[in-house]
Amino acid sequence: MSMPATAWWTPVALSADVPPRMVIPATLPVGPIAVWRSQSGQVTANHDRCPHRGMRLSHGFVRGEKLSCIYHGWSFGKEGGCTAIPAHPKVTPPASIHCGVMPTVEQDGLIWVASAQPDTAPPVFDQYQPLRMLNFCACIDRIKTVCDASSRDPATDTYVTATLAGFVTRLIVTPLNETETNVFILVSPDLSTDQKIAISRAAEVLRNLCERPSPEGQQT
Amino acid sequence: MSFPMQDEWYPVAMLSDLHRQGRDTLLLGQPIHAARDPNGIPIVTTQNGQHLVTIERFGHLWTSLGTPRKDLFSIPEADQPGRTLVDVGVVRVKCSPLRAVENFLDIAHFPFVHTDILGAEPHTEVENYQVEIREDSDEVWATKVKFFQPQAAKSAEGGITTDYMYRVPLPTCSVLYKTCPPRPAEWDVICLFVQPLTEELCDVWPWMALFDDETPLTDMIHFQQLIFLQDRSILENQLPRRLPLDPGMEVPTRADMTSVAYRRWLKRHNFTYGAQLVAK
Amino acid sequence: MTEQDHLEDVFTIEGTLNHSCFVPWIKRHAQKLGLRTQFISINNDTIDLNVYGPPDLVDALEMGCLLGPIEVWVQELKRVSTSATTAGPNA
Repeated sequence: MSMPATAWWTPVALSADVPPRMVIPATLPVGPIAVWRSQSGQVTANHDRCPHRGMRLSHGFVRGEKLSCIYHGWSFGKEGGCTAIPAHPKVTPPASIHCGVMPTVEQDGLIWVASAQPDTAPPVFDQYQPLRMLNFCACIDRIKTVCDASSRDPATDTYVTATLAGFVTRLIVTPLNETETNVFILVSPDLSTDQKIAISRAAEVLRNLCERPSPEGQQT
Repeated sequence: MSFPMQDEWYPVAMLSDLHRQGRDTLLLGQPIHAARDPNGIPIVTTQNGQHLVTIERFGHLWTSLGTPRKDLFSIPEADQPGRTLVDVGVVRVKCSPLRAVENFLDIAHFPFVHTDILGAEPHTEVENYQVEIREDSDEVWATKVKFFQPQAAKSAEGGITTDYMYRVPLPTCSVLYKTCPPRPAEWDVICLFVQPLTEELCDVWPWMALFDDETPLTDMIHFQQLIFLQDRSILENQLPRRLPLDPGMEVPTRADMTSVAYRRWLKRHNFTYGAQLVAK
Repeated sequence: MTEQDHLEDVFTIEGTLNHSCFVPWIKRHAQKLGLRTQFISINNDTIDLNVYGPPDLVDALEMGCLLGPIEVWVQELKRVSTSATTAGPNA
């Protein structure tokens, strides 16, 4: 699978959602990826496809510092090179057999991935902390309309401001395609658990609102 | 418009489950109806009322959209007295019918997909075996295949090195012969009969002919269903969806020799329904 | 670290080979396997090449070449070992 290079950072998951020795599927606008954290805590993102016979690596397992494919156990290191082929234990696989690692940065509780190395670091959000990620079956313009586009940060255009449960939150909106958008909810620090739960529920209400057809009868 | 795979045999129903009402299904994308007529005889008809050729064998009803070039294959072991014949029941899989067959021919996945049932780490090495396309029967055969297994069959205790043979007699069928613990001179036979509904959807009909007087039938069925459901989670998550005939985006190794022979056989016969011709 | 013998095999590939697409295909596949190749002769009926590398990876190149691109039909692939170490299996 070839991915056209996109030289900007896309948030794909909360750090808290990928504990050590876990692999999860995620989506970049250009295609599916596997995101995993090694035993030592390092995060890696690669194409969600094993070079052997095309099995999704996000269904695999993490042992130590390696990601293994669930189908035949082929293992890959953090640079993406194949390190073991269990059917042929005597082989030292060449690094040219690899699963395509992508630039990854973990910052302020979010995991960011790009298809090619960007020139800058991912944006920062002062002290706002990620609460959760939701997948909206709505296009990005619809979400911005519902949240009132004028509340976008004009300087960076990296997030939308929304008031949820009475609290100001920042939403990073990442389009996956024309009909689906990932929304990362960032909240100010020092909130109580009850307050976070209230914001989380309000975010789900926002999602329902965005996914419902607009008053004109069409979802924009 | 006809294509080579239209003239082959395919399973479309389980005989013990076929009644007057029958079942509406698809074969190579074409709607068909399989049922029993007023005399109890199984028939298969197309949407415009055409009757298709049929054969009843191995507990299933077989048909073809065209004119098969030969009789449906036989399995002499299945006719041996004392065999338990097991209809496992249909499982629908969202994958190419050719991928379902290729997975069934593979043993390197046993320690990872069927962990502690058909294989276990560290016994992951696949030793060399033999593969040929038998010209007289025009079938793919893999022989002298062996693999160490902790619990190879419901009738096995502990772990044994199991001998295998694999056979592909039709584009969407595979027959597996494996060591039979109660009768070491005989083979247990496990078949996968795959009905291609579309290029990316199939109904899989597993069937077995075993020497096993002790295991209850339902346990045998559950065992095989468990194995197959584990395979299904692989089959529905492979890319590309269709079976590549050009391995340019893959890395087949010697352990994949049966798969390579199967793909060569498909390519030679132009059996490409469910196949990916250009590597992607 | 496993010690590996290195093979030097000659592959003789025969069939309907469409060499203009098969040769680049073989080069790409060999590169992916970390193998060195040296083509000796090329035409649409026969391709001869030297292959250098660890035995199991040379076997993997054979597996790939038995299929190749859709435009190519390989009737037979013969291997002859020219190294002092063990020859690979014939398919």
